[in-house]
Amino acid sequence: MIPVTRDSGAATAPRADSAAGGTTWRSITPGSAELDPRGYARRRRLLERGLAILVPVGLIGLWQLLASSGALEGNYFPAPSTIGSAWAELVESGVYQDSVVASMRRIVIGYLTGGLSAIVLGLVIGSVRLLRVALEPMISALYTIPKLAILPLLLLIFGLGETSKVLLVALTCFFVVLINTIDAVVSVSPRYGDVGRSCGASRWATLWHITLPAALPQTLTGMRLASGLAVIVIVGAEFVAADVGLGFLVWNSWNLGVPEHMYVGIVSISVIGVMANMILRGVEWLLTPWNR
Amino acid sequence: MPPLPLEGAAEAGVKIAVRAVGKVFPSGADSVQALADISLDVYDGEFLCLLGPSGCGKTTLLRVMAQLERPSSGVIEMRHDDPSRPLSAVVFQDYSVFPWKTIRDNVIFPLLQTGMRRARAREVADHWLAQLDLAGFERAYPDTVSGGMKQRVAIARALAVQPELLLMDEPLAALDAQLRLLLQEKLLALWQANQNTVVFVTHSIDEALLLGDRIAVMSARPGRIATVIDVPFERPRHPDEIRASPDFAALRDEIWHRLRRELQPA
Ligand SMILES: Nc1ncnc2c1ncn2[C@@H]1O[C@H](COP(=O)(O)OP(=O)(O)OP(=O)(O)O)[C@@H](O)[C@H]1O
Ligand SMILES: [Mg+2]
Repeated sequence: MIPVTRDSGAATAPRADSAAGGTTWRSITPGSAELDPRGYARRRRLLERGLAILVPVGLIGLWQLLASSGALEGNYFPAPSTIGSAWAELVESGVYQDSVVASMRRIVIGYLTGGLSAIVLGLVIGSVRLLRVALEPMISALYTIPKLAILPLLLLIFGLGETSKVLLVALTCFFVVLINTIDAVVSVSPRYGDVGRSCGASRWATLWHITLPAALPQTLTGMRLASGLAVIVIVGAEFVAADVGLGFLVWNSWNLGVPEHMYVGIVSISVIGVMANMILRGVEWLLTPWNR
Repeated sequence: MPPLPLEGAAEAGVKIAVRAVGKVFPSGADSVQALADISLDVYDGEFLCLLGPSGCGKTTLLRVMAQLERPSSGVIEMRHDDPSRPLSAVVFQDYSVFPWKTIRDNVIFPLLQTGMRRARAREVADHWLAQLDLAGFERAYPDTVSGGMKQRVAIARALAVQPELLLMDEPLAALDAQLRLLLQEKLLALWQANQNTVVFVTHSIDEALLLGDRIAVMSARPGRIATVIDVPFERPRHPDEIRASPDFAALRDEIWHRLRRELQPA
């Protein structure tokens, strides 16, 4: 039995009283995180930042070592330094800027037209039951078509110009955002709608003050998914149907047998993807202040 | 306490006349009868408490009064006297403040729906937030404040439009006992100052006695009005005095016995 000490002033460690007999004590005390919370948080942040930078840098260093020692086949895996100088050359000749601008233009225009029109339509389709019932099966069917598969059709209709590629990006983004927006609107808790109805809110007020903000987080997730898909699809389209752009750069360097250029293109594409993701997280942060 | 006769009640002064209202919810193959043959008058300016066991249809009856639901049978008549004021406003059982609007914007929202200008709505909102001791939190988002504060936002939102009829569904149920006492006093003071007609759902006998002019006791499902009890306490009421009075204890016992009969299957 453990004696209970009533007088808190006289409390001593109960450990002293526990005789033998197999009793063990487990002590719960502050750890380093509790004793120095600021220092702990700072050390932890430093470690995490450091890891996030050091690991990729280390891997690239390893790659450099292996490539220059000849352990990696230079025709397939050129050293990072080779890639770097190829990059500089491409920038100097202006080919690189042209490629980036061409791809970005297609992505941004297609993404914005497809995504924004999908948000508007999704809000309407999601809130009008009859519309949703009528259109939903068709939308799911169209959503599942890999959009690259309709590129030939677009080329047939619109020719090799910009329209077909921008439209491809727009269609890709449109369906992802549309599906997500409709889903978000449908799953808005009906109690918010009840508040609107009991205040006598008009359809427009309900859409603007209730449906849109309630659906916004998931809609923005859809927008983020769409940005990734936009990059994927534009590269695919540029492989076969463009004479400028990052996809074209990669494809063409295969034709020309310049693997360094291929890597320049691949890395740039992934950087665009990462940047788009960061920008959209910023937009989310701005547009949904209540979720911060 | 003799229950008020429903038939032959003076038609003058009746704000809501509920006549033989039934409500059936279809659920799959069979259906749930939530309300059966409810008849009830709510008078101008009175504070009516709806008391009953969980699941007896209190929320359903309130939602029908709020025109969020239609009755399956029977009719409800409501008198709208002043077209410049909204007929009713609702405080919902679950927190239904909008998490995406600041506390001030939550109160502004229904004001804008009545056609009020934004600048004016803002003044009105701040006035009611101050009334409910929420001054200083106008720009906070609801998820950053406590549950009790959220519920006060919901109450401020309903009061701000100055409805002729205030429908409240267990507005204090989710709060702890101490906070609940404080908010009861607040509600009492606000009602005594404003004198809207109130229908107030609760499952607390004490709360009903403290706040209500009359208490309509509902029976277990399907919900019916089992009895209507007049609360004899004078107004203005002081919560502490009322709780201490012998009448309070006697009435509470009487209501409890009736409720218990409703809860026990015959
Ligand atoms: N939308 C609905 N669909 C189907 N059944 C419903 C619906 N709303 C309520 N019910 C049923 O009607 C009955 C009464 O519900 P109600 O919510 O009115 O009870 P209550 O008295 O408010 O209960 P509580 O005190 O727990 O809030 C319950 O049995 C419930 O299951
Ligand atoms: Mg209820």
